[in-house]
Amino acid sequence: MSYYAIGIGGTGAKCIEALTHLCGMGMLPKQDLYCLFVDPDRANGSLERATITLRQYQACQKLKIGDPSKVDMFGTDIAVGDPHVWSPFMSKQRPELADFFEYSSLRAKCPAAAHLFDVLYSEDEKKTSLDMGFRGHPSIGAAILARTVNLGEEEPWLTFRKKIEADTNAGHKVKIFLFSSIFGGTGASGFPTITRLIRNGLRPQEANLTTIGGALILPYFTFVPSNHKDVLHAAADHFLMNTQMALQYYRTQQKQHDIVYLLGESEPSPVTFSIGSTEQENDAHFIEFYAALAARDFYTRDEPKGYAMIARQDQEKIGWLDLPDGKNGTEIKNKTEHLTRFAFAYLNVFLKTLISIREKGKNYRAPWYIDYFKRAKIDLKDAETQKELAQVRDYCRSLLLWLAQIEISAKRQNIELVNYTTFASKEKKDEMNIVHLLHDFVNDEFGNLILPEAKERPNEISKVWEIMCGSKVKDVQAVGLGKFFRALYDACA
Amino acid sequence: MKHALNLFGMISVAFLFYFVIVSILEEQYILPQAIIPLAGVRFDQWLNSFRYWAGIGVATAVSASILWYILGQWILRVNNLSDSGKRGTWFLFVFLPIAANAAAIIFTRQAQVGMWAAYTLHAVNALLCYYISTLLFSPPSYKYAPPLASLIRVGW
Repeated sequence: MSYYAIGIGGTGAKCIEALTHLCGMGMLPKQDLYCLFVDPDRANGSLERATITLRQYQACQKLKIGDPSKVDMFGTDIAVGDPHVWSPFMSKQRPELADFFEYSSLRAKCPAAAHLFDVLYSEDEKKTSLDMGFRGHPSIGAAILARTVNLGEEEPWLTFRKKIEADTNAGHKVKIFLFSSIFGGTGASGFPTITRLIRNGLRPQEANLTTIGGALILPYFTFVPSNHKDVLHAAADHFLMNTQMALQYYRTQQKQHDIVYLLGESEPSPVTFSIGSTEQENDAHFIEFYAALAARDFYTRDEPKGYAMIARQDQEKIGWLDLPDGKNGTEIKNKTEHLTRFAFAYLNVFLKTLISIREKGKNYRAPWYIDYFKRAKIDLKDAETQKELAQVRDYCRSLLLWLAQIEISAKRQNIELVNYTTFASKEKKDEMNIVHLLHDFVNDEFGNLILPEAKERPNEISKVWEIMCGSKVKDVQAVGLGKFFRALYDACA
Repeated sequence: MKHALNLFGMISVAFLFYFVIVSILEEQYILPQAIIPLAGVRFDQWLNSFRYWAGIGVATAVSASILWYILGQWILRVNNLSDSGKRGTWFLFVFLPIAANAAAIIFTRQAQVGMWAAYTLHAVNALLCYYISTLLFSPPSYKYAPPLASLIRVGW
């Protein structure tokens, strides 16, 4: 079995970020996952953030922490397309819709087609530069994507196509999952178009072994545009109308997906407006967490078909019980807690100790250092060691920040998943909540990272230290620095 | 279970010191060669005094080791970097066997010749008992606090 995930547009990218964290927790089957992004706005901040998280994950994955069947952390082997993001304008600079369809020559050669073009697109749409995406206009995106996606000619589609071919030739089932919003420009146009192109590109025996699913995200954020009145842009007040039209389209069109997960939020969260590019980086939202869990449901189901449906226990609150993991939220809760504890302990205690030992010596202070570094002849001053320690640090920071952002992402509901105040703080800026990681986490709350809080366990982190000082990693596949991280992960269980 | 074994290990070191090193090695082989008691005092009378104060020294040493273990395991928890190490605390506990050693030096019966050997043995008994018991059986979080422990304590 091989898994594929395609993130279309900014929301799609953010869902892949959430999926990456689920892989980090060990929530996905321990198989290969091939990810790629589709976005005409390659400088999109959300896309960049998701790419960074993926790269951090891949760096952590290279650490030999042991037999994947025995350890949850980083269990899924994620490969990313090369280039990781595909844009319909790979070669063109600042394209305009009119240029793209050679409107000038079209008027001379085929006036009827040019007139149709005039009917379908306004002057603004024709002349707007598309290097920051389709600006909330799916009609633009659909036309461009249908013309440019070619599975057999261009990377990363070429590798994507070859991998599917190799998998199906070996008799393996293939599962492809697409993430996108239904209300914007890129996602709304890309979701049906790319699925159709993939379907059409499969040979019959490949099609028999291939299942395609997707998560369509209904409007879950809103914004007030500012200072861009003269520029074509996405408008939050069009989101609901766009969504309605898109849903009608899916109802009447031939079904391309075996299963579709529709996710929405009745009270959209406010985000800062941006046309696109690096400015378009919205914080993580709990809907993306749900979308990633939808992908997990799709990958783990034998025959994913139809429409999935879930409900919340309490309208005012989102808790672990509400998360769909097939086990009343216990599996996702336990695995989130495990990785969160690992990230917390590593960042706030173990990494700080390693830095102190590197700078001041006195290594007797940390018996685990002697056991996992000195005796293993791992030098803290070695550039490669420092790089690997920094890579895990960066992933852990991304994870904790992501969790904290999810915790405050709902406008109205009370999200009770992670006790983020133990490692992050919230700041109000321009009516928006922004979270930052604390320089010093609250170690006394280490035993209560997951909500609802249990009874007070003030010395919980000292137990991790103690376990580390007397632990042994018996897994022969855990090697070098990976052995230390494996021991720490096991100690945080 | 692990803690019970460590504490048992410390007490075993003390027993080893008292019943093997003091009672056999020192009393039967070293002291008869080195000590000539004062006039009117038989050697076995002097030896009783030495044994008593050697026992006090060893008992004080093992008590210091056990206190170090209790402190390190259940009171001085490592909740952050500044809590780690505690070599200074380990050295503070050395003063207990040193105090017992001082008492032993003062109160052990005097001899005509060889008191230096008795003093040395008292010091060795108390300090070495503390050192070896903590070297081998310190609480996991501070297992390398005793000097050279990282070279000796490999594998547990």
